[in-house]
Amino acid sequence: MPFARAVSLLVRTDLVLERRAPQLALAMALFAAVAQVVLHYGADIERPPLAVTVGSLWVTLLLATLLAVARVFNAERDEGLLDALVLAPIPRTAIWAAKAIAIGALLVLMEAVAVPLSYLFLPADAPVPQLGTLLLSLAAGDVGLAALGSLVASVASAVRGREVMVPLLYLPAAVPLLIAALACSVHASSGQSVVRPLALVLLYDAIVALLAYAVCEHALTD
Amino acid sequence: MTAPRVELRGVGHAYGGRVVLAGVDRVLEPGRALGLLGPNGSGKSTLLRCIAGLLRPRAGSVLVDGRESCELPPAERARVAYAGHRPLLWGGLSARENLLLCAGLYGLEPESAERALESADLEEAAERPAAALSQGQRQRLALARALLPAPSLLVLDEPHSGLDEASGIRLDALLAQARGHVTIVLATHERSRAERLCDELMQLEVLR
Repeated sequence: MPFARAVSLLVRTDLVLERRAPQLALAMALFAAVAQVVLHYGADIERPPLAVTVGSLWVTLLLATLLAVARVFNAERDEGLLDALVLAPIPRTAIWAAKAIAIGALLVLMEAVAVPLSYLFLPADAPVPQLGTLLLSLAAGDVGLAALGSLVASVASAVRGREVMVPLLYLPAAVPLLIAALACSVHASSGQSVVRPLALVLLYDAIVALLAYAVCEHALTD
Repeated sequence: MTAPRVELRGVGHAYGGRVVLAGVDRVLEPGRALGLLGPNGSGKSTLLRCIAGLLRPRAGSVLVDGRESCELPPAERARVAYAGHRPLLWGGLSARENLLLCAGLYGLEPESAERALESADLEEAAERPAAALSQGQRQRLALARALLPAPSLLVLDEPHSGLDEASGIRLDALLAQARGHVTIVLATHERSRAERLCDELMQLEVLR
């Protein structure tokens, strides 16, 4: 079966299941909203620097993604469905790609809540972000977070103690991405050129994709 | 698809420090049916997972037509069907959606899913979520899913558990029909059933 068709089938299945029981989407959106409100009012900084506002946004995204990463293979693992997928005549990287897209979709949903809130809390005289560039930087960062999350979830799905393994692998590995994505978003929000940090984010995305291609074929069997 | 030859060469496996399989050797010629017998904990399920390519044995190798079962390319994997203790069904999807998804993943026409639904006698429960089906219905659906791609290697782990008498008889008839065309490895606790359905038997023991 072609890779793209397999991915589309699996993504559609995940989205149908999430639509019928939207626990993860709700949990992530709620987390994003609460984190932004708490960070703003809890910090009680009258004029938070742009980097702090954008940084709090990316930390919120990272931690909320961790919720998705920890649960994205739950159904497959609990019901033994990973066996069904591993046996199916599809490239195993399609399983990784489908889960990455599902995590990415949840991230976009969460950003629809967190990004407006985050910019709402900026001072009234803060520079108006370049919306197109900002969305581009968020999208590039999302690809990295989702691709890495799916890779970590795939690797952890076959090992014991996965609840501990997921954050231990995911959080440190996401640090370079977070630094580059944060720089990219700050540049986009302050009207500077995003070429350099964006190139770093895209390089990270490509490395994770290559790593997943190399690892997933073997990682999903016990 | 022609039935494959299955070769077990010194297969061994352990969970942590507990050895469950050691030095299992066997050759199963194409189209033959092997019945695995043994008490709980004797490694039947582990061996079946190794044969299906879901588990890499710690020692030895499992070859399906000369290739490591864990390393089969996607097209070759389509020949292998596995039904284990768990039904391998998406609980949130209906019975029909489960079969349609399976048909999609195997590149089959949606009509094959409808036929499978009919042959499993699940038309009335077609729109119910798999999680809401009775245990017998779930088992029938799990078998229908496993058999949907018309596999040439059938790996079944106690497939009769949870089935009522009529469904059990129907499964026996299906396996009898498949004998000769499909290589079958069947784990069961019922020796009489294994003797009736299989060409050869293999007794596994709990290792100490």
